[in-house]
Amino acid sequence: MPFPATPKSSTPVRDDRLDRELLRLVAAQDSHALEHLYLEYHRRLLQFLSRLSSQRDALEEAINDTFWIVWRKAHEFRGDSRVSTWIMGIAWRCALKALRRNCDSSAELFASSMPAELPVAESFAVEERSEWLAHGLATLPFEQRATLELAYFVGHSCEEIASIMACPVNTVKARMFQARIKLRNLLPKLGGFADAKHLGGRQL
Amino acid sequence: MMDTSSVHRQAWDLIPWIVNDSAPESERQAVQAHLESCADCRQELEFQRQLHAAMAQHSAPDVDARDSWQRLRSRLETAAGPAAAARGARRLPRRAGNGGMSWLIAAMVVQAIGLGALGVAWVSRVSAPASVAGYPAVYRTLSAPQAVVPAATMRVVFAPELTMAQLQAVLADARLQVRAGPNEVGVWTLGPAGDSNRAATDTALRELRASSQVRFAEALPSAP
Repeated sequence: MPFPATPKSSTPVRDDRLDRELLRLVAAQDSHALEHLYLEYHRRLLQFLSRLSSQRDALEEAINDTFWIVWRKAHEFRGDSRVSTWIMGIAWRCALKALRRNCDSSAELFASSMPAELPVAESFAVEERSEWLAHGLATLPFEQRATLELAYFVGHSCEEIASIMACPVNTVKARMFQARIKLRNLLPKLGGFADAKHLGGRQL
Repeated sequence: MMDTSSVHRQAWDLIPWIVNDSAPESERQAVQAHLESCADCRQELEFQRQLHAAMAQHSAPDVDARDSWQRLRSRLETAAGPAAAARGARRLPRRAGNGGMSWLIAAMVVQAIGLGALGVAWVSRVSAPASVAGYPAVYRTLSAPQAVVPAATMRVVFAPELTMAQLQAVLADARLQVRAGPNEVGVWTLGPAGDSNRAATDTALRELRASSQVRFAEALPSAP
């Protein structure tokens, strides 16, 4: 039974050969190459980061911090990952720093991106799917939500996400598992399910 | 050989990476084989596909990346100034013909006009007889005390359309004088026209940043 066609990620996979050439030029302090790379990645990074926080100023700051580091550290890129993974990893760390500068704790960081109130079950029928999906995602712990966004919104592999988030592959798998379980329980109607039974044969 | 539950668990864990098309072919084949006999995993695959499709629907924030880029560029240029001078490193090159960098080219034109005007004034002064009223003597004895000039306190980039008269007006309003510049990327180094203190520097910076003729202004690390 062949898999049906998978819908493409909203941030299409970039040509790594082009990115590597641009990064080589950036390492030689070519500001034209940096500008090109910046304009290519700005939207992609902002799209991803804006799904994790609504602190727009902090996100813009994080993106510029990211390319400040790219400019200074391009010569240290070892080539053992895609350039997009390397840049996304820097952006992830810069975003955490920028967001935490505006929050005293990770709890506040998470709270800052949560809606004030979750919809009750009865209102699901009248809510748009995207709205209650957003509410469901907002209930996930920050790292679980970021893992899901990196996989489904940006299109990274499990290993790439581990590299981006600087954690073991098993941690990514565990975060993804927890996120899936929680969303299955919160959003059963997304899949047309009455409940969240039989999830991988695991005890919930 | 793995038992049935292990195969099921492994397949279930791999479903997200099948959905986002990042799993290697061997894993795809393993999951595909398992799906034929597992209704739970087929159901989960469908749920994750719908989740993936729903998450892909996202409108991008309305931000002009070029505005953000200009802020980063200013930051890089500012950092490149003293660092490049210290290390002899390469600075950010100017980009001829680039719309985003046209202001730098314009700044160079302003610089050329300014230097030309200063040159004319200088030649006029040195060629004028010392006895002519209004022109002080241009010589000084070795024992004469040196005039004390307050140190530079800030770096500034002006708007490309700035004329010499406007430049002078901006400097006069903020009680500043040119200490150096513009450098090759259009950055001017300014210092106070009068006493140098932190309050005066901060006031001048506020005035400059409020001016539509100023693109960028920041205090030097050594500013009082």
